[in-house]
Amino acid sequence: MALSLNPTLATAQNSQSRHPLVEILSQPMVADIPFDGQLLTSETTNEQKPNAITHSTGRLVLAQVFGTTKIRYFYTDPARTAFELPVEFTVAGTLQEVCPCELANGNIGIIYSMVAGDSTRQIRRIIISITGSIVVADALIESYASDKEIFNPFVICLANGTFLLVYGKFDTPNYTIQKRTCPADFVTWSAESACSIAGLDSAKPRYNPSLLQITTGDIWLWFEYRDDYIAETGKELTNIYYSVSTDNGSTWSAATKLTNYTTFSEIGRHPIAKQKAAGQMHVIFQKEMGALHIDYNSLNWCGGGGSDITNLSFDSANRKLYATSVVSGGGFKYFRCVTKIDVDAWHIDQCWNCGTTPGFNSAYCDGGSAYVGIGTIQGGSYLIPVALVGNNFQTAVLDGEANTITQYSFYDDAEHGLTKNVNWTPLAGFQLPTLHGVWIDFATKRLYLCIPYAYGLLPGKIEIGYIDLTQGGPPYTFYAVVQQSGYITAYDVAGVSDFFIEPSVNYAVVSSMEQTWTQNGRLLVFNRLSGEMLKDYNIGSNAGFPKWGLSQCCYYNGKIYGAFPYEAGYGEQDKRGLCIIDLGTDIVTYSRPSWATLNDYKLSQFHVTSDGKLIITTQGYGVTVYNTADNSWVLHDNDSLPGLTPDAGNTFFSVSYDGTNGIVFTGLAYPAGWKGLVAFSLYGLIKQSQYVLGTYTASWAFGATNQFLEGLMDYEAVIALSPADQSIYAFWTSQSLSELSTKWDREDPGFDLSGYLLMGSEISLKRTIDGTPASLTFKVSHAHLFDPHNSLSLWRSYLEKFRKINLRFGEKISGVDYWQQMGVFFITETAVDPGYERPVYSTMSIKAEDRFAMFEFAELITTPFYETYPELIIQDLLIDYAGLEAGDINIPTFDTRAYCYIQWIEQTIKTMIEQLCERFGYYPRIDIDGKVSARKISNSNPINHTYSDLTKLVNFSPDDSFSDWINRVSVKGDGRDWLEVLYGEEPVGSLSGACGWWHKRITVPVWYSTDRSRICRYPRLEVLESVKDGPYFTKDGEEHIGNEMGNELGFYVIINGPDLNELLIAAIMIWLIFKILAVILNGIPWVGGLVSLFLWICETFALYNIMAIMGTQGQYKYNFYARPVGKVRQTFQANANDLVLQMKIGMIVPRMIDDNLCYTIAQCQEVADFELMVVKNQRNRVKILKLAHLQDEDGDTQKINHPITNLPMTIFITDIERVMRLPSSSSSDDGSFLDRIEGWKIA
Amino acid sequence: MSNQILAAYEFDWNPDRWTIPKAEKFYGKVLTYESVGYFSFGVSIIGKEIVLEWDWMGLVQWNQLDILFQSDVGYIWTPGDGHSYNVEILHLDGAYFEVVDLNAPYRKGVRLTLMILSIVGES
Repeated sequence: MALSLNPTLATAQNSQSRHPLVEILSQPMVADIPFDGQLLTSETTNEQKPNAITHSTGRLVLAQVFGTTKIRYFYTDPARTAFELPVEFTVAGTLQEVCPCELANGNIGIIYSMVAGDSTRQIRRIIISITGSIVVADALIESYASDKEIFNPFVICLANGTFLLVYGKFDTPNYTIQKRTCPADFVTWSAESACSIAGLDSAKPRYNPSLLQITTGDIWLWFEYRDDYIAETGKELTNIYYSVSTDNGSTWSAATKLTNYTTFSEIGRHPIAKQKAAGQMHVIFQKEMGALHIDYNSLNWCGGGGSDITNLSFDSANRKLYATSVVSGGGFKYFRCVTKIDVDAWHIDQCWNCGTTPGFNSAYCDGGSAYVGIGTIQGGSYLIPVALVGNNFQTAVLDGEANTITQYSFYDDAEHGLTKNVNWTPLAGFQLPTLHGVWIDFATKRLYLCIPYAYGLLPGKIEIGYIDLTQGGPPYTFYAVVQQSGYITAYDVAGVSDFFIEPSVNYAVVSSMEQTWTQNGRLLVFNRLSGEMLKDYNIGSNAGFPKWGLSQCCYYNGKIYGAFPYEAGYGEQDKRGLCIIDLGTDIVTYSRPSWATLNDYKLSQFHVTSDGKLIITTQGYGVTVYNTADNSWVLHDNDSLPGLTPDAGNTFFSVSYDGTNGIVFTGLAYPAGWKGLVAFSLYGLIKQSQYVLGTYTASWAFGATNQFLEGLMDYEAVIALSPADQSIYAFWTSQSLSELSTKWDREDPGFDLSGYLLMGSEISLKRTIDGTPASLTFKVSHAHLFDPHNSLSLWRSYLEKFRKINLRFGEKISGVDYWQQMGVFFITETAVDPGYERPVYSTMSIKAEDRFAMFEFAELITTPFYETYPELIIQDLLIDYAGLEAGDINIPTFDTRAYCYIQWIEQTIKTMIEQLCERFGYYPRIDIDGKVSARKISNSNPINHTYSDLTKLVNFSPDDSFSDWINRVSVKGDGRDWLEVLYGEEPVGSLSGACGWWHKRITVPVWYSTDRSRICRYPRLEVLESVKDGPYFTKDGEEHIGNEMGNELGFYVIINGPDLNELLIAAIMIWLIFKILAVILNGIPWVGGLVSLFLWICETFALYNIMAIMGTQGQYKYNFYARPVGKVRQTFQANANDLVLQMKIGMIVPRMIDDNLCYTIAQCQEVADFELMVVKNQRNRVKILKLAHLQDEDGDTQKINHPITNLPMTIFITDIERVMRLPSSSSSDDGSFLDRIEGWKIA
Repeated sequence: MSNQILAAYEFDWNPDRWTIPKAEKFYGKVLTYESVGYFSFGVSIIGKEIVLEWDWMGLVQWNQLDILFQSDVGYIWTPGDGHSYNVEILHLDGAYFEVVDLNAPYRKGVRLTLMILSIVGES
């Protein structure tokens, strides 16, 4: 359906006299808040405590504490395009806080507090010009003795032109907020007086006061107030409060609490407020927390409750944390899930388990047959292994960035559909291989495996090798590195407790811990390249080594650091804490944590930081940090960080670390209470700025708390408002390890680029039905400011890649602007023309494309199997895989809709959507509002627009360049019903064997396939050797095919063995006869020796016959044949013919199309007719240039008169380019606003 | 008419000839098969070049104008038409009198070219 214009605008489009308008807005792709921010400078000196204002000229003004003795003053140009280089003022003491304020004459007054060299506390002021020149020299307002404290001075200029200064003060024993006033000169400050605020206890501190005079004239004083305090630890419970003065600060209302933090685990600090509009107030403050948590209740968690987080891997490049979870409980451990966590936003991005797509094989989650080992499975960055350790082991590796899971099978597992796909042969011998550890070396993309072998008490073996994760496959090759036989014991093998690779020194380390009194633990270090054993530590060879061995260990700078269990009574009294093995000297030492005196510190997993600190979890005491440089220990637990865990438990297991921000990630496994993932800072509480929106109706009401800044150590946020649109400019302190920097960001209401469009250039909007994303191109001036690499420019983000561009065209009608939305695009290409080059003024060219450009690159490994209508499938794809919401989709109901049965593998979202649309004669498009839509391609669509004369037509030309000779389209599809097919006879099996002489009947089942799933008919027996073919009259034997199995999966062969019973009896009788005769005749004297000899021969022959008969077997050997039964889809085909062209050229030129979305002849015919319609219309293609009409779109059907005949033609628009050319100058007449149309003349 | 002001300098002598700071129309036209399409993109004074010409002027005024020109920053120009304009100086040209020595306190044929950036008070 064509666009519906405002009636006045629509009427104006028909005029010959036009006053076109264009608006191009640059907007962020996603919501600005919470801000992520960018550094204001690259200084390494600490920058903190920023305060900012908007100057009356429009400039932004910022003052910060720089180092310990300098005020740094920043300002922008009036258009707020860029910061000038900062101006510095050095103070005569240790600078505490600084606050700027604009004077009536445009100068800047700065209030600051400092601790002077004589330890006095001072509040001082200085007046400078807007560009930082000193106007009135630095001077003291007040000095206080060193036993007093001054907190956070804050000054504003009131509507009456005077200044109000507030600050916190401690004068034993009272805490107060003091105020001073000053006339417009900013020089003659009044004496201080306390703000009398009811409801506060003078014994409790109040910090960070800030002021806001709202549009009613009321002054709001915001501050933080300490509600509770733990003297032993110095922990404070602070909340945000406010008090209001209606008389310019003379009197103040009772304190009102904004936040309601009630425990020490979360507190509020540093409030500041600004009014963007009357009746509305943004209050920004920082929430400080002991830690952040994620558990099974968190959004997107797919592992269920009770999951133990056993391994963590931090991808510092993409700032994602991967947590591997298993089901809790003793003995077997079953895989639960891997979660991918955005550490800045602290939410779960994605979760994989055995039921997701992609997902892990069910073997990993199947409680009946497999378990996941603990503590020996280590990922690398975004490559996360999951392993079934023990016998018949398996591994899989998740690539969290590519969203793929690769299965590496070392054994067949028919139950779970796994077939061995790793070329690996176990070492020869009785000892059985088991998997005890996997480790990913991310730099080389290798998956290392530690495979010990054991059988009873036979000497053990150990094999270490790797799989190259970059190799193609399956099959995959396993490269063995270490193969040690006989050197280690069965106990060593059974007790492997840790395994890791240290790439920096090419070590492969295996620790074996055996807590059996007769055995000792062992630590083996191999060369991971040569396989050579470099070290073998045990108490027998090194008395300093712990008897039981190391449970977990790590490597740093030539030493192995390990955890071990302590048990009294084994001479281990000097071995407590952390075991340290110097690999150079083999000397073993111990470091005992200083935070407690214990026998067993229950150290668990290790993480080594780049600066030589070991972050070690403990099972019961918290997370401890050992500094290898100075042998010092620090403990982080629920006492030092209230709220570290929700239930105050201190049992931690897995650990990882964000070295950029000093954030420790630790997972809990096997605690009695809460389980989940914890993030905390090594530098104190996590600080994250929040905001609350206040609105005024009858009174002020404040809403829910929302996140204002993304970073976990981003705080002290202040804001200034744009005088143009009241959007927020935010500045704050960002802590990276111990370094403090100022970051900034801005709320982006959209930047209007219209004023920067180059005169003489074209603004071009192209749309087509051929699947190419709609595009917008234009040029702007001020390339140096829009240049994303100009770090001083505040405009640099407006034209950066993937920025959202909103286009409107319009018309000025009788002095009133009328607008029509034209599209939403995303910047895909920018170029500075001709680049920076003196003395040329640089401009910038921009190309932006609609959302379809993204879909072109979004490739899915696999989708679910769909069985529904095409519009619903498209909607599901867009929501599940393209991140859209239902409101972003506006797909019409297809007029010939039918169920589609399809699952895609390795296809882009664009391909899938196009396939569905094309099947039903539609094409996908992004509509003017940026929603995914579709339009019907047809030569019978209703007319959208009629041009009844030639007054708008500039150019017309036939164009059949896209047409071809095709005059028949054949479409093939497969039906949904199965057809049974009987294939030709083929061998289905063979049988051979033997049977006895006593006429035994054997019934042998014969299956048509080993998996007993194949169906065949008409089995035939081919006898290669029959049971009756043997000696001794085995002719009585026979064989034949018996009954077939009911489900046609096989049949029975009946084998009747030969019956030699009668023959045997006869032979025995003959033997008996000769035997009796021999006995009788031997007693007769005249019987000679010849008779006796004859009888003996006969007797012997008879006996031989008996033996021969009894030893007779019927040998058989058969082949079986049968005709397999199969099922195939019925194939349909339909043709559409262009008979006119066939007759004209005397030849049929066919095109064959296989459409797997056609399931009946009628559906094939539908597609064939559609495709032939397209083929025929391509021969009637035309090009039209006409005055622009904002109603016209791609997919419209129009009537336009032929320029010669003046007869109407019906045109289906396949391509439309709307071009606005801005005139080069006032003296040129080259401005225009035209539509270049390509389409089909359909009538 | 009072003398024109450029930056803080009020001209000793107003120019003998000068471009009226009047907005100009930006437009285009395209012939169609049976008519014409006319496109008006509005009127604007932004970017207009203003030429101020003096047959001759005193050296003091010349020097004042030259200082402004050399400073290479934007100024406010108040020509006396009821508006003030943010301008940039593009050119300043003049010649010596040939009949007197080089120290003669006059310049002839002076042309000062300004470009209007915006009207003060209108964004």
